Amino acid sequence: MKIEEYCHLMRRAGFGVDINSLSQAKESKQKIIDHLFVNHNKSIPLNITYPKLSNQEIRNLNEQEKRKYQKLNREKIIEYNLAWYERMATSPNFLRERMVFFWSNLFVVSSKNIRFTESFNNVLRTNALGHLKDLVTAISKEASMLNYLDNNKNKKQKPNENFARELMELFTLGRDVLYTEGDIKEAARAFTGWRFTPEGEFIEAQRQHDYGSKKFLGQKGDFNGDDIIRIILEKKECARYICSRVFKHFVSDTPNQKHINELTEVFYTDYDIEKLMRHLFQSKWFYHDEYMASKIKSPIELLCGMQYIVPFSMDKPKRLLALQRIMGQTLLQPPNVAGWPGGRSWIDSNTLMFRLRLPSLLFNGGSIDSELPMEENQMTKKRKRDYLKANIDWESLNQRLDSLSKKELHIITIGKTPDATALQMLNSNNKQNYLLKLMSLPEYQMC
Amino acid sequence: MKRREFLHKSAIAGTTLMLPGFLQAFNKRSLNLNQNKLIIIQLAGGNDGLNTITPYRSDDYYKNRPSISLAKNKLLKVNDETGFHPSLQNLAQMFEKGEVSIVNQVGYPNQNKSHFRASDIWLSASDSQEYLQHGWLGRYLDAECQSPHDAIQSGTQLSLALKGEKSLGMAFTDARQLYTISNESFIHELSASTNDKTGELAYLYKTLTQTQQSTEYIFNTSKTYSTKTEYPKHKLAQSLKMIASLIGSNTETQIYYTEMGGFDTHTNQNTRQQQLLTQLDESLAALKKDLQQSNSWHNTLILVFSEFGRRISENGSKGTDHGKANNVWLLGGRLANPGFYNPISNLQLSEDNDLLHSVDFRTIYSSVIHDWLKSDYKSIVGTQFKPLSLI
Repeated sequence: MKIEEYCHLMRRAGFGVDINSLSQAKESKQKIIDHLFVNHNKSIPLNITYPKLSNQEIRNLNEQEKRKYQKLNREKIIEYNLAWYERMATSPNFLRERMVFFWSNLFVVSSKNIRFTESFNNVLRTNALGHLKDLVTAISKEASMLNYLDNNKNKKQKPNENFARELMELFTLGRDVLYTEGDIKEAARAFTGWRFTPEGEFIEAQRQHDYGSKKFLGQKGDFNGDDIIRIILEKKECARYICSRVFKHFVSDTPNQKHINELTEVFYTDYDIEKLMRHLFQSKWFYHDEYMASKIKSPIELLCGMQYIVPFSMDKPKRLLALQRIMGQTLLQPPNVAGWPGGRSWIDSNTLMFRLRLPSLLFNGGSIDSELPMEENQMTKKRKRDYLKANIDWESLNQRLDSLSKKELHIITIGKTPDATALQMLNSNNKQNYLLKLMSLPEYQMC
Repeated sequence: MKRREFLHKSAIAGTTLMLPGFLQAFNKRSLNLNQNKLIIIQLAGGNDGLNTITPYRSDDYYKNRPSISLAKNKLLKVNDETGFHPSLQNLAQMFEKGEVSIVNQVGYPNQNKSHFRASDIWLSASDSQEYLQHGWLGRYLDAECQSPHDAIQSGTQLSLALKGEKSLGMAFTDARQLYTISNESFIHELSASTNDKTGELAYLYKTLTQTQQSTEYIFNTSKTYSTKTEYPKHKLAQSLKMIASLIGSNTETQIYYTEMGGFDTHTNQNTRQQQLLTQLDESLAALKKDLQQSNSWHNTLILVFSEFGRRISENGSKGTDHGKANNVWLLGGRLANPGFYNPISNLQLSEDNDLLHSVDFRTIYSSVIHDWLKSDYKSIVGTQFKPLSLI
């Protein structure tokens, strides 16, 4: 593989290029991809510790205890956010974590309950590279989802259509593809009675379920929710929708119907997610010039990517949460059920200015232009913005920088060799400073 | 470009020599003779409209609120059925002078009670089932404006309202700070570097250049006016002060946006709401005074809204929970039909005790777009939302 291709793959299938792994770029494409699927996709659940109350204990909380419990949940969700972020930025199983990140913005939920949040996140992780049917069925039975889209209010006498609608519109088929308002009504009836316990366990409340006959997407029967998911997946439109989302996330914000059709043909045979992703990464067009460094990074991609180049930590980890918020992507808090729209929507005057200055705020006391290496500058400069100062292992950074040629540094950082005008901006003899300037170019905002 | 061709083009281009196309378009706005300004104030959290503009003859109101209803004799009565919250003295005076329009029972079909979702619906002017990634004023920017500073938000995170498909407004709290940042030598050089990039990268460079131009413009223009009005110290007042000084210095910006939080009064509502409404009232009074001094009160319209109203029945903690319909206010020195657009007396309640709406909020937006900003409400808000006779 060419080093450009290798770095492109690492940025898209993971969150950045591990400088120490660069020597592997010499291997064949086949071998690198095999390695990716064998070595970088272990499923290790992401758990944090918190008291797990029983159904009975939760039901018995009085007003005051309830408020305390809610407060605990709020704090634990912040903790989970940071744990998830760290997992993405540092996990050796980066392919699976990338898939979790992708699915979380397709099957979108938000919960105020840490147990539900953790469980949902891990369900994505377990099924991230398995079969789509297992994944869709599993997320539909999660407390987070049942609660977020009101299925816990969906009952025979008074069906609630929220989940049925979004299942088709946002999760599996796409807006107004194939289904009608009538199909939504019938599907909602099939999901009646799907509930969860206070502990988050899925149950079917039989008295709330509508056992009558339903007509859905041209089929007739006394369907339940599982049947609805099965029938949707029988449609090629479902494979196409998921593939168009995969294309958007992993390849480009501009759809290419030819490529999406190709993926659809592969995926529709058995909905094997791993097979789909292998096909994508092996395809020649995935490495086309027009797709290299062509997407605007999401704030999480930006932050994780920075960790790969300059490993850093913050004295107060919650400041990472502030960074997510300022740039508009707080993990576990999507704007709505449609998720983050991505692409240009990340960028406005403020966020762009902030994103360009972020490396200098974290690593260099706020200034981009200085004669001194970051290391010295960060130590001597005192600024109001010091609260964003990061802790950096300078020795390890210097080792990495010394091991890289200029070309390698360019490709690892911005994906390609900078053009002439960008090169003019990079005048510095100091390696740290050169890197900082490289990371302060708009080119660095792309992946 | 060949030299002859270059000379030819530059002769035509005149003063805009060598400026990229999107910057030349700056000039388009100077042809726009409409000097009307619009200020939007969002009361975030869901202001309790019933304890703000109170129907003091309604039995339902007093019956459902045994401990938090406002006593008849405390209200600032503006007619024989409606009274303002006692903290809204300045607003009541403006109302008497014909500088306030109040639209009651404003909402939309299938109102959503989540703060985020409801805000998005208001900011994007969407249906309750529709997820739009652009705001109603953003679409106005798309249609009529060219640079980020055409819409300015006092704040740090740009509101969905000011995001268009192509154009974006800008958000800041301190024009000088933003100017300093965007003029850092590296950033400045970047924005001046020739723009030969393609695709999304070109979009980043374009946004950078526009931001740089706009901050420079704002910084230089805003130096020309300094207010003599005293503003209270709190956040809303300071935001409005910044906005008034931009208007006072004849900035070409047409749209200003700010928000005030804290209206989510689930517990001990009366104490909290009194503080909030006092701040709001003082701020509006200072803003009016300032705009009068700079001679711009007559061409400024202020729109005040909240993402939803609250339930008519109080909850168990002397507060109220998320509800539906609410009132919307318009303030200004040039209102066509000041007063109440529709009466409040007849409280329409749904079966689960929510206030029903009789006016779609988007018809108010249409009025603003059509009658104040003189643009096409059909493409920006929607053909079905015909303007009301308000402005």
